[in-house]
Amino acid sequence: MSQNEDAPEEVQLPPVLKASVHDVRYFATLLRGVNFVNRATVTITKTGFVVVVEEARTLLGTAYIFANIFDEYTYNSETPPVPQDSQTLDPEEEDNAAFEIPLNTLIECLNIFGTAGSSAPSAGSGNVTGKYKKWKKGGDDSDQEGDDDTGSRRQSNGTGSTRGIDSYFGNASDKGTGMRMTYAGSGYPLTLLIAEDAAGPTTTCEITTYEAEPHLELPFDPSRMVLKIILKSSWLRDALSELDPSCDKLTFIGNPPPAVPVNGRQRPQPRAANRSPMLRIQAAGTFGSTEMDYPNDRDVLETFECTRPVSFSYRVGHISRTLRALQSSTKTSLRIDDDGLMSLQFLMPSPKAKTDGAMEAFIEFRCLSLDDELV
Amino acid sequence: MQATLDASALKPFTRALTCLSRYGEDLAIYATPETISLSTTNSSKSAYCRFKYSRQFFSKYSVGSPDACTNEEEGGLVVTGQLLTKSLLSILRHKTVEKSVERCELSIVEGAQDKDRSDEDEDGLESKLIVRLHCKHGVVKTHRLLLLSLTSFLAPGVPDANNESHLTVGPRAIRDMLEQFPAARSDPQLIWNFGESEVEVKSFESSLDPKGKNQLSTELTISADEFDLYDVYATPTTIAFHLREFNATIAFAESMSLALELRFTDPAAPLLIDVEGDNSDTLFVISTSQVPGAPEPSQVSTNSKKREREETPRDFARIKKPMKAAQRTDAASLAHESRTPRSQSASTSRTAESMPPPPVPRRSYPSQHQLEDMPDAQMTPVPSRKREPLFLPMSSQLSAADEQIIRDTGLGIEDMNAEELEMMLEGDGEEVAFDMSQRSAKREETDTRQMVDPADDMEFAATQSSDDQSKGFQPLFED
Repeated sequence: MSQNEDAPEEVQLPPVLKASVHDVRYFATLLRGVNFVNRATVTITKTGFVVVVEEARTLLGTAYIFANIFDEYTYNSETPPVPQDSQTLDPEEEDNAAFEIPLNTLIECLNIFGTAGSSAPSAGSGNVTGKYKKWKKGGDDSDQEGDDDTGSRRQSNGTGSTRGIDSYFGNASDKGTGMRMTYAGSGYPLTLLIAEDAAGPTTTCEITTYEAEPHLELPFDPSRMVLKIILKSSWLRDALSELDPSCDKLTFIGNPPPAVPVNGRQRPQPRAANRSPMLRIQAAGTFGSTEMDYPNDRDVLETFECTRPVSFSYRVGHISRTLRALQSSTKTSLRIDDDGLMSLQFLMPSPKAKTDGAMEAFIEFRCLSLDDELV
Repeated sequence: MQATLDASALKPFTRALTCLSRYGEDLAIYATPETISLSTTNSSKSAYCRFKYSRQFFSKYSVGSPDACTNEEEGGLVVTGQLLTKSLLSILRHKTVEKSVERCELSIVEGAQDKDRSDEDEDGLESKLIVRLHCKHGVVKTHRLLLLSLTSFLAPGVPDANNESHLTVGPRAIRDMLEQFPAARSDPQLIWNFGESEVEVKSFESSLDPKGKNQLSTELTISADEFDLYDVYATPTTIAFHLREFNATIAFAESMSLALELRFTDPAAPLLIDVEGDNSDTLFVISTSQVPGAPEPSQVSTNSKKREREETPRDFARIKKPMKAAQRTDAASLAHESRTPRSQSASTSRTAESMPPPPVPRRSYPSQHQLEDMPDAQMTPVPSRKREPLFLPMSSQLSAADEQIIRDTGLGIEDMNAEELEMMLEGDGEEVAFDMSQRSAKREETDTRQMVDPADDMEFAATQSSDDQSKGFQPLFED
């Protein structure tokens, strides 16, 4: 790209993407959820951007990061030079910018101060930065309760134990690491400006971007859906963590819930355990097999829809790719269509979604089933 | 076999498995209609651990379902199996289990084939241990673990009880002592010297330490009052054993708030530890090694004749090969050997000693009676001693050629033994396992007597028999 002759033009053209956030942790968590293959395709739209990662032509991980998680988000359509005068393109649908980026590098850059560790708002611990020593502040902020000694302040910043009431309001005073991200357009690097706070050092990272190549498409047709489950992520997380590491195949078995008694004559059957289970997660390994049966209990399965008995197997290696996203999510939606295509959506709790009612980001995985298990 | 544990019993059960996993990898399950015992032996067979639970421990317990293949030849209904402790423990120790499990069902389903348990590698015919966890909200988790057939029993060699020393101590007290001896990476061996009113514990300093790592030598003296019961048969008695398994025992006893009952006889015989709970009976056996040059309880030598090859200094002859905590016995031979009268094994070992100790009425221990009552006699003392060379073989013996070398030197050192000769020839004596002054004193003692115990003769003959040649002296512990 001949930057020299474009340079005067670029001065006038605003960058394709300009986004900033005062705390990178949520953003980093979302990216980390799909960080199982280094090369990710990033598609930028007006409403946010989508990070897509695929593995083995079988597993597709997608992180939907909406614009509202950023403090500032401006997307300027990268209008190609030729149709610049013809403004007839549909601005809603086609007007996207896409590039590929080494995802691992991006996450490492965000974590350059060691402060982009898991935000884990679901874990209930607001102070996950405790491990890291923050940079010493210049002593200019006076909103901390008056410990003038910088040594003890540093300690108090690190542990957060002496911040008093602030610790009950999330990280109100702990601003975290701020980031400003710009992407000038195709061929330009993604530029990150990362600063821990106003007085601390700032880092500028330029990450090379690549032209986006077409990636695996696994469209999920809701009309062909045969199984749909919504459950708390902890249930699925516990189930997957209990599997023996030697297992290589994971089978989801679903059976339609028993027919609802129409006239009330039918009593609740005491031998419910003997019927075929509604949801069974099953795995076989070297040292034995594991089955986990879940009843149709609202406390366990918030939603259970199953049209016909299904049994599909997936490679544990692929399912375990979802664990990182699963761990930081609150709710999981699991859908399987009649071909065995599984769609796992993890709702990622946003630290500020509660307040402004913004849409929470989510990560979706789609995985093809193993062929030999097709029912 | 079916056993159901409720949430309160699951915790001690998991603790027991944790302790078992620190002893050895394999878990042997042995279930009779009244008790179930879980046992393991470490890889060097120097430590053995067994938990026995009575049926009252479980909320439900039964052995022998209609389709279960039972082992009738031992005269009772017995279900056995073997699996990796880790695989069972990883299920029960999972963090979600403690929170959510309300009931745990363990059941053993034996292979489908009839009585033929030799080939179990065919699909669908394996025995399985089924762990069914009933969690809150009606979630049921079923783990099926492959169960291997228990081909060999590892039974501890229980020493004769007539000269046993007894100690009882709480886990906290003994842990406070042992905290002084960090066992983080290495597995240190501790020397315990049980005196009249004091117990001396010190770290075992090995002269074989190649890099001089053990720069730190710790010695601790504890008053015997620290022990709830202190009954040492002959003072001073010195034994040495490794800490790793002992620590596992202490950790278990502490988690269960149960006292440890230690029993031991002489330095080469294993240390037995009993931890008894309400419905459980736990036995730990840790093999000990003799400390070279340690003071011995009084023992008189009655030498009557001399043979040239027995010119070994007496001190060498006194070092016994440590007795292994568990002997591998195959099931077939166990059936015969376990019936060996106890008195026979006792008399065998008595001849090996220079003077039989005065007859002491055998104390009765409820636990031992239980052991003997077990139909398959898994725990019945196997007369292990007669198979063990009691004396340090090979290295202290001189070959004819070596003796010629000694004579040729003309230095008047005919009474030199092989090790000394080797030292002399090699020029560096880093392999000395005890201090020289004491040995030379002992050698003079031997010279004056020029006699060797006839019982020793017998043992030496065994030592040098052809099949023992290959075994040589294999130290139980790598120092």
